[in-house]
Amino acid sequence: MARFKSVDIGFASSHRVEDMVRWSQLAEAEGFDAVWLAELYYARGLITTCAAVAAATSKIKIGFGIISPFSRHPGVIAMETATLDELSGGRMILGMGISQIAVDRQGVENARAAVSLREAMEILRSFFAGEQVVYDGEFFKMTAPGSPLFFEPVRRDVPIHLGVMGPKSLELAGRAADGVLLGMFSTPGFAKWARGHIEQGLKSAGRRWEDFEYRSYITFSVDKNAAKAKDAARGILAAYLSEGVSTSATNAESPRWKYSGATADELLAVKAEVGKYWSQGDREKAGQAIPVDFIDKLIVAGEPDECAERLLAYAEAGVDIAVPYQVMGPDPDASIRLAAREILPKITA
Amino acid sequence: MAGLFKTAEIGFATAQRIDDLVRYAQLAEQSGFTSFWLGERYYARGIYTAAAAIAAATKTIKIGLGIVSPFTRHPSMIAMETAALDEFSQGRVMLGLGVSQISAQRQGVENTRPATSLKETIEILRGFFAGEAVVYGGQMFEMNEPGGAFVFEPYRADIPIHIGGMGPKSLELAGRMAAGEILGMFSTPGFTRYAREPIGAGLAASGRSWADFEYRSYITFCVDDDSERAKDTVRPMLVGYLSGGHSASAAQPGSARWRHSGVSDDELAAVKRAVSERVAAGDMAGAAATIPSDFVDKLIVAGTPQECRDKLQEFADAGLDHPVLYHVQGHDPARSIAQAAALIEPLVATTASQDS
Repeated sequence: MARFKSVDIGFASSHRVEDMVRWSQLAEAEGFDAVWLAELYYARGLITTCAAVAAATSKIKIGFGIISPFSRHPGVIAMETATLDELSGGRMILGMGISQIAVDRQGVENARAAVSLREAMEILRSFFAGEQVVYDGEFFKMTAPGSPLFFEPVRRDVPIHLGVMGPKSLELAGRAADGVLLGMFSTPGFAKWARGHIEQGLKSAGRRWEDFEYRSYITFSVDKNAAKAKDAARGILAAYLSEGVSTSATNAESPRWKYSGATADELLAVKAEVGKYWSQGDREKAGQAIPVDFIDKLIVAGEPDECAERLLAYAEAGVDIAVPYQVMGPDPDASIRLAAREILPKITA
Repeated sequence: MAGLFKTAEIGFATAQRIDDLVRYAQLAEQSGFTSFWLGERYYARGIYTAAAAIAAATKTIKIGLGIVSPFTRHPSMIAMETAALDEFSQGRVMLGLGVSQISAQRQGVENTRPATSLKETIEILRGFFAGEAVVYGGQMFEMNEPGGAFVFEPYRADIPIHIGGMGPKSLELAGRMAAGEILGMFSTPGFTRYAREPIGAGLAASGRSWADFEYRSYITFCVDDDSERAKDTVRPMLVGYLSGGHSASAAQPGSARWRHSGVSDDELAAVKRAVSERVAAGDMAGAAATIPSDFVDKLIVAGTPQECRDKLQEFADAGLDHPVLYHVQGHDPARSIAQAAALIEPLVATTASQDS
């Protein structure tokens, strides 16, 4: 049975900065390879959070999971990323995606991920390489005479990963990025489908899987008591189904649902039931309305052995690196330790 | 009566290495400076990474973001990063806003309309900090329906916002709406005195007084036991400034900052011409050497401790409350920072004298 090359961990910036810092220190001590930080809108800023984590750790890698070029100009992303790389001694991974909320707010009608992310990636690589950056893209510009990065970055090849889910963007990642990070609530079925599109990109660029890192956020909750672990995960799923991160994310026709193992009818029925309580402001009942077998299709939640087995389904689907994300469990600190000691040895090569 | 400052503060550009910036902030904290301001230079180190690294390594010194532009990060991003930094530093952040003309132009923004864009940015930021669901339809910035609210409670709902603009409308806006003003590098005592008028008009318009306002200026600064060596240290900064390294308008004669600087138009034109000739020839050292010492003295506080103190006194007499000694450097930054702290100390009012 396939195993992961390594295991990372991920948190969203809805948490206090000091909590994210403490969990990152704990993850470093317990052997996780990287910490990915997701910037929620409108929660704590990603750059500040990453810098706080970088200052308090010494070897764990730190990933943007993700940053949008529609939220900050690519030139500013280049500055902050290179500075974080300097502060952390070369531990940064630049994860980039569209972030529908950022796009909507900018009044961009059609963000065309495969084009805008390619442009942003070209600008960023050009800054990191020390070039005088002049760029005239459809989405992003650096007007003449242009500017170079003002200082020598600690690495000229800061890895750039794409946090994308569409076929064209996955192909772009295979062609031009260092890796992919699938979003939360990705399933083994979807990961397998996405792998095919990444592979097309890799092939067209003459690259191989060895040149590439394939990751997925896996929404996660562990406890010695399986029911407690699953209950702890209800809130995040209820919020997702009700408010949607983007309207397309819970569109039953999209590939991520088509390959999820949940049927369109099932999704719509659960959404309706959850949404009923959510719109009344009763988040508790909204969470309770989600059937356990639906939770199990989208979230890895349970006691350690169950979690290990369910995580391995992602490795089997071709994901190289698992990124257990968010909830962690009823007591996050205890769950991080539990995951490290009772799950990691069973799922890593 | 000779004026006194309310605080002594210090600032550096993000052109420095991140570990140096952290070390300078620690030295500044130990030396008694009350705030450490960061000038974000394009395309040098990012200001939020630098500020967070400093917050992690210090305990009491306030951290100034001086300045952040809403054209490179959307106001909602400024809100998120600044609130995160305020939480992480336990309420030590001061936010300075400006338009950063050069970065806006590079990114294809034709007209930044500073007073309008800064006003809109303040309104969006205050909405977020106050916990509101922000919907905003401005001329420069928008937050579309259904709007966004913080999903967390910020450490402070009243994070102080300063304006970094220096045009008359921006200064008036600062007086009307902001917690303070921070004038840019190469401000002079004459301009500092002049700028009190539009700020004062803004204060009056909003029913506030100078007691409700923090009036700051960056003061480009270098102290050395040898006066000429201090001036030589800072000359290269003027070369960049005069040859167009900053915004196109900054070194143009005729603007208020020059009219009140003590430099005549002819003098400015002559110095610029000489500098530009050497720069065009690729001779940066030669360009620096063409700048007369008395011209340096008009724009920069650079000299012996006594000379520096005398020139700082002129800023205090002009009505400046919070001097931010900028770019204090030299071959031994630790010594320079301690020296700067010692020489400015007699110019700072004690708590007792402020009460009287």
